Amino acid sequence: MADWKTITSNVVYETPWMKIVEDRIVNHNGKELTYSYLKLQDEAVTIIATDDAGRILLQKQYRYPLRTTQWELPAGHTDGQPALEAAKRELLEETGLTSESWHHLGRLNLAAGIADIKHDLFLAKNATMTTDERDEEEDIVHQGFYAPEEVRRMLHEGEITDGDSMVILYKYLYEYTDADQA
Amino acid sequence: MTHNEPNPWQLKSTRIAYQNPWMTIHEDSVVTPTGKDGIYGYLESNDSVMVVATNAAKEIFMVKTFRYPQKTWNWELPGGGGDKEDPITASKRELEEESGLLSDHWTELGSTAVCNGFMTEQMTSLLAESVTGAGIKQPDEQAIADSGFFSLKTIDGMVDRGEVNDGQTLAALYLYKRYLDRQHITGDSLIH
Repeated sequence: MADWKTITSNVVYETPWMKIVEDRIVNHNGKELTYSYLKLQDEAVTIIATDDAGRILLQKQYRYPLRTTQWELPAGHTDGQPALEAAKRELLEETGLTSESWHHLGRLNLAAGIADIKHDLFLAKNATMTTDERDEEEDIVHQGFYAPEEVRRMLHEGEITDGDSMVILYKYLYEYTDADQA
Repeated sequence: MTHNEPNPWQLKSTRIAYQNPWMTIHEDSVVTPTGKDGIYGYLESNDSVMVVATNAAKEIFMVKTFRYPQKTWNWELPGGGGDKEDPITASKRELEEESGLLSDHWTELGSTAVCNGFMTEQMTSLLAESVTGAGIKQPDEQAIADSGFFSLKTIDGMVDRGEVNDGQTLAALYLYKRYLDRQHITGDSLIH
């Protein structure tokens, strides 16, 4: 089956973080139509940081589009950096944590039909607090380390519903083994 | 999940920056939680559904579909925007449209915020068991290159190799595994 072809492409709205792209396209049936989608200005990273006891850092963040707080993992934009460098920066900015043991856990497309948002997922083990300074622009209302059993309970009881956090937490808690680090 | 924390953002004014039948882009002028003037642009769309459709052998139906924003063909579960319907009505319609499959056994698996920094979309994952084929209604309208039933083990392999990387598909698959664990009381397994 043929790919869809782009005839014209226009940015119809833009902020420093995302843009809305409106394209005229020809689809697999040869039909011409308009297709709009959201594209992040950069890619994104999400980080599971564990302390030396294996506890996982979770934070509760206010999410303006949903007008509610959600439990999630530290995450952010790459701002043009390679994904791993961006993950290290985001973790430090949001939590004050650093780690010597980073592992790539996968890559996701979010909202594939309506957006182009790519998330790289990382694990940062034995994370230690190196500064009390935090990026004050972040909308974080609570932060803490939680035992894996407690995070499993939160997943099972539907308390963690943020898409990328959910996927990486399930992957880490149920499928990740130390052998995967090789 | 509803929480009680107050909204730390102050709304000054709001406008619709872009709109089509599938999305509305809101641009809110706000005072940020740290007291600075700013704008918050986000996408409002209908909530969506994702369907884990299983046959008598407990294999899962997947489709290889073209995703224009990524310009790639992706293996995904059937699903889509809900057209403001309730999740089960939307799921029955989406499943039949994409696969021609019908089921009389529907179970809600859980809810996911698809992209909470930029979108309002909430996705409901549903399980449709013992599906039977009824024929695809409008095959030409679906950009589907391939489809079929796969065992959970085969799908796990596709995920490990990065062949399945759609966040909503992965969220629904994990919610299905959670459901299986509850059925079988297998404790800490998420079935492999």
